[in-house]
Amino acid sequence: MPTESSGVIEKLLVRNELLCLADTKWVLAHWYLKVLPNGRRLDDFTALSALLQEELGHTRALFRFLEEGHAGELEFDRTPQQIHSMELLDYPPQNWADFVLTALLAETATWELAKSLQNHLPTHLLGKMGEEEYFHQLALKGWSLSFNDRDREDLQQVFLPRVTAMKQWLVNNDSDPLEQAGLRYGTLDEGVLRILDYVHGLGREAGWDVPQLESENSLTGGSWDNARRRMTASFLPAKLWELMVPTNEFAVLARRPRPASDRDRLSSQTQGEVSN
Amino acid sequence: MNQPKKGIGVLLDFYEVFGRRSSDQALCHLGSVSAPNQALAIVQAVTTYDEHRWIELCIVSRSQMVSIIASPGGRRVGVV
Repeated sequence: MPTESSGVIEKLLVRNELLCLADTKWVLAHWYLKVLPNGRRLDDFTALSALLQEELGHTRALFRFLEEGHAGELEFDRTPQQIHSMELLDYPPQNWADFVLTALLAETATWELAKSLQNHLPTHLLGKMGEEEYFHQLALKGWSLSFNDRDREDLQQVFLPRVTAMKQWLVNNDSDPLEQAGLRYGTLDEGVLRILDYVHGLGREAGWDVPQLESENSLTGGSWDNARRRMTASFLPAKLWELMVPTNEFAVLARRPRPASDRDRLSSQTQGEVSN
Repeated sequence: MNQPKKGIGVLLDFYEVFGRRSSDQALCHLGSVSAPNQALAIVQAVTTYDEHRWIELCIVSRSQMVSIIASPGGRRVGVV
């Protein structure tokens, strides 16, 4: 029989997981924003712009769903130490191949996490995210298939560290508290296997000469913060945080006053809320 | 001509894009995209022609089109 305190703990576990999802999408959107001028053709800019705005859209919808106080608190009222994003995205891409691989791993891993939380998300929000996610993965697949020889060489240097970081984000514990509490749909171990199968298949199709992927868990040493899915005491690099929430004088001057923003809500959500 | 053109280190193919907004509407030619592979062509079609909520959207590779009356000089205008 669940007690009131176990209900509170379960609610917190789910909220932390959804924040990991939202914050990772928030950072990923800024990866797309930063990489946009590095697109190789005009069409890449269009695709990257679409990926960027859709990731920001998912982020804001998840924020609105999770906010318990006022709208905008999760975007503007937190410090880098409170962000639950994937550490994989702390390290900027070294080249085009690194960008494509890392974004692909982040997209597939966030989708696996979202699917595992499907009993805690509004159906239409998960459906919309899934629909757009399909095209994000297709774009990244398309870029992977058009790698040139130099890209394939670059990929070899980053492949294992990036894949390992993705696996650690999804599975870095002997046990999953949400799975144990019956709050998870499926398991994240299965999710990791699906991603590795997909990446392996894509590698064969794209002609990558990369190491064989191992499916077993590779737990990191050191202390792991389960709530944020990051190493304890790790936080977003200052430059990345400044890109996401600029604090320089001109950015602050240009930002609309918070009360005005709260009042007129330039959003497609008329009530600023997501409901089932 | 319908020969693939060269982008930065990759060959690009042309694809014609068709869409339908409702079941009583004909499938209309929307324009064209060029991409190094089909996956990117699909993404480009979806992101470029996203002005409506299509009930059907598809692409056809120009190399798969059967010409009946060839346009003058064999050229096709991409966007209508």
